[in-house]
Amino acid sequence: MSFLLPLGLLALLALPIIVLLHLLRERRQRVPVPSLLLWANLPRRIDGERSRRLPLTLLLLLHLLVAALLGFALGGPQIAGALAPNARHTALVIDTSTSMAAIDGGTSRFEQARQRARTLIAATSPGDRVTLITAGPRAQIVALGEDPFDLTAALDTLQPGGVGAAINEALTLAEATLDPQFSRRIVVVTDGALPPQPARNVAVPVEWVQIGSNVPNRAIIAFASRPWGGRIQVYARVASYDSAPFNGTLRIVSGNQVLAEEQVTIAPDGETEISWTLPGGVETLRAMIDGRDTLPQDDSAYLSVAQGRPITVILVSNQPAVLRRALEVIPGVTVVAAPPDAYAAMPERAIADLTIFDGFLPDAWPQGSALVIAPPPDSSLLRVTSDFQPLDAGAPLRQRGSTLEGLGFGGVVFEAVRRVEPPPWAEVLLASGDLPLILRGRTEGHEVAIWTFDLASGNLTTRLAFPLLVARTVRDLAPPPLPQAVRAGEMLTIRPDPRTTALVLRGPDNRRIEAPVASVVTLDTLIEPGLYTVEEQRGGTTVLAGAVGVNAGAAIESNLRPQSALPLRAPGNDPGSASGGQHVIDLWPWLAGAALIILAIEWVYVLRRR
Amino acid sequence: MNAMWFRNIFSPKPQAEIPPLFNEAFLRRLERLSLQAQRTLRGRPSGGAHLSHRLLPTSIFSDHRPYSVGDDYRYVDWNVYAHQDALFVKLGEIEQDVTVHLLLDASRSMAWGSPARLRAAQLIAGTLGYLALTNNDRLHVTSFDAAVRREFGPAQGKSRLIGMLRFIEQVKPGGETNLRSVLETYARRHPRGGMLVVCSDLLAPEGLEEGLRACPPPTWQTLVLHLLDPRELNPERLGPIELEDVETGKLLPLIIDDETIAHYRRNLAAWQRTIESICGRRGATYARVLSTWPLERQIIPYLRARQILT
Repeated sequence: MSFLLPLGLLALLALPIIVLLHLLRERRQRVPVPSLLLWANLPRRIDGERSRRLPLTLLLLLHLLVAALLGFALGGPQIAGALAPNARHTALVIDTSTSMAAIDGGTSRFEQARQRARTLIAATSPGDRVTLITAGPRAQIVALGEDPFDLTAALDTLQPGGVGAAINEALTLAEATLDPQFSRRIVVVTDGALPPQPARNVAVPVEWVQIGSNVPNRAIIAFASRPWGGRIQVYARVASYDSAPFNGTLRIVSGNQVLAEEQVTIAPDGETEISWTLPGGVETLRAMIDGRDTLPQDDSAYLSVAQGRPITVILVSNQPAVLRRALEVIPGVTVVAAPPDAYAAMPERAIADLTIFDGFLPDAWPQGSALVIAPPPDSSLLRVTSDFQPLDAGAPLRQRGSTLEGLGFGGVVFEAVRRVEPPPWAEVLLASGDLPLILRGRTEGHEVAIWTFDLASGNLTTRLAFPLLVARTVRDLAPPPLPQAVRAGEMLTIRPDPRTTALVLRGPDNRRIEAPVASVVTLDTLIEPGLYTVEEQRGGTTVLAGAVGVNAGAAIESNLRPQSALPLRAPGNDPGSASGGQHVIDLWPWLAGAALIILAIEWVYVLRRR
Repeated sequence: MNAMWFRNIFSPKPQAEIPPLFNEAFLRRLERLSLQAQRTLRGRPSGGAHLSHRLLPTSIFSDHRPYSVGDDYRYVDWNVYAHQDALFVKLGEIEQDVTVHLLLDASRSMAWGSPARLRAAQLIAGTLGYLALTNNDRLHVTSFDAAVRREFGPAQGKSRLIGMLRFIEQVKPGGETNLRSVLETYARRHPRGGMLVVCSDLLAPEGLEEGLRACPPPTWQTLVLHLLDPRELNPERLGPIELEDVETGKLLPLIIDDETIAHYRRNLAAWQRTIESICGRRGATYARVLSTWPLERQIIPYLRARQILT
């Protein structure tokens, strides 16, 4: 018998404590008598002769028994049983990263891995258990059971894709999944295209199955662009994992039009970087290299160039000139101004991404985001004092949050400030003493910012901080643009417009992916390289269409040379397997159950004795 | 197996069935007995069965005394007048009824014992009450603990039998004992006196002598029935225990061994002698009754031997 948690045996110290308590609090049997009249004057010999002998009562024995059982149970006792003498539990970890898609020896590495897995599953005996774990960008259990047919069916659905193989995560998952009552082992089937890993301990034996051979590969491992005036600057890095130099052609394509073409020469196991300045007006770019290698997925890279999200701003103000100037310099912003009286009849209300209320506030928040400047005191949405609050000139301004980071408000005079009681959904980003100046929050799906000061009264509009504050506030309130590209399997984070009712993505094979709509949508299922379109729909109408590139090229993934196995410190054999087919039986449930039964008996005994 | 076996765990322990106090055959046999009242007791010459020591003008001749103004002419002995030319009135012993007072201790200590002492007291009180009513005596039955609790009576005649027995059966134990207060109060309420039977375990630290002083003879003929349980006389060797006074709840840790028992017995004997002495000094009859004695075979013969019953 062994103990899983020997420290738990310290609970057995309760035994002498129980004995001590029984000695100290020896409960005498209480005998009712009609009167103490005749007993009162007897010589009292109880103190002198009261011995400290252990009162061996049934209750004491039951207490000791319960404490002993629970103490042993806390120690996690185990014995070797022989209920399933030959049962094995195998965790089969399969690398599903992009490198496994490389054609190696006539078939892909992944197909070879799948065949090895099939062989292993077929070799299991009745009663054996297999857990199938994929190690792509994240580790995931895809099947667990004893039926070879189900396991093989699950195996057949797997496809390689995604940058990175989370072998370490997969090993942790496997250790947690393996049933200690079985003879355990982990089999890792991988091509070894892994980054260097620190040594780690593994509780069960690990069998490392290496797939693939030393095959050369070329890949575009970086591809990016940025606007440059009316043009765009494009950057690409190409790597060659080959012992021979590589000469090839790198093309930049937009749709079917070749925008640039350049001959590249890469030294053995070297990289080269190329940049171009291309005319604007293109929305997507694709870089292609004639790799002539076994992994074509990383020979192309994709990029979405036109990532700006158009923003329609309604400016409701009696004096819109200053704000309009600050807004119109922000790229992609369209401003429609109107006095407060005309706001209710504006047709643009339905499409506005941002509504700015200057000295005015309607009875309900608009559909998009809102910036409230100098809110009036008679508002139903905010609690605002009617009188202006004097600012303490000596009080420093307290600012927080990334929106105001780096903005200098030195010398700025805020005047005509009314006190806005911060609602529970908002936080104060800028305050003078305890007087809030800028608040930011989200209520009922609306992004809201509040400036409590009047722009016309202070000197903020004459300071450099003003256009920066306006631009940052607009960017903060408006939904952010999509990223240009992500790596295959990497987490894509989208913050759709709050009014979006459906978010639809289409892959390179025109496969439709409907993502659940939330304030932040994360997707990690984009493993196939290519351009993905993203559509934000509102009531069945597409209100925003964009694209994001998914690229398979990466320095780690594209190097197809087999790497050494992970430095694992595994035991020579599993305690389960070392016991010659016996498996471990936990005794604590039985001990705890027995303790409960004895407690119940004691309870009944005490109840009946009363 | 009973599917609802677990109910037994929560249900109270089954109580042994208590037989009725009296049955009809026993009561019929009791009719042969009567209470032995002292002649000194003052009763009413209405139709009782107890002879009085007082000589009154009566048709049953026993003695003479000179006629005095106001005497009933019917009791003038005209034969004596014819011989001696003087008026004499015939005197004789009259039959009178007496008032029987049954005081039943209903303190918590009376519930102790197996069977409970209260049951023995109820049996004795029921028997004496039955005899009183069948002999046309006036009967009062009173339960008490620290004070007088419930009273039955005055009652006379067999028609009150059922009510009397029902009253006795309904006496429940509760409270502590205070004999002095009870007897003094009772004597003040009943100044004419009578035959007083106190059925009690007398487990009160003091008060018996003061109480009996309030019930002096010849107004009162007092009978103290001391109810004892055999376990009181012969306690077991229980070792270290805690004694709990069922009346006061007080606890007394003690080791009950041979030495303790010997001390206890000495205490018990002294206590009984004290009670007997008090009763003797106050003109009361003291009788010790064990609660386990069968009524018909042991208690009644014992009371007859003590000339309480005839």
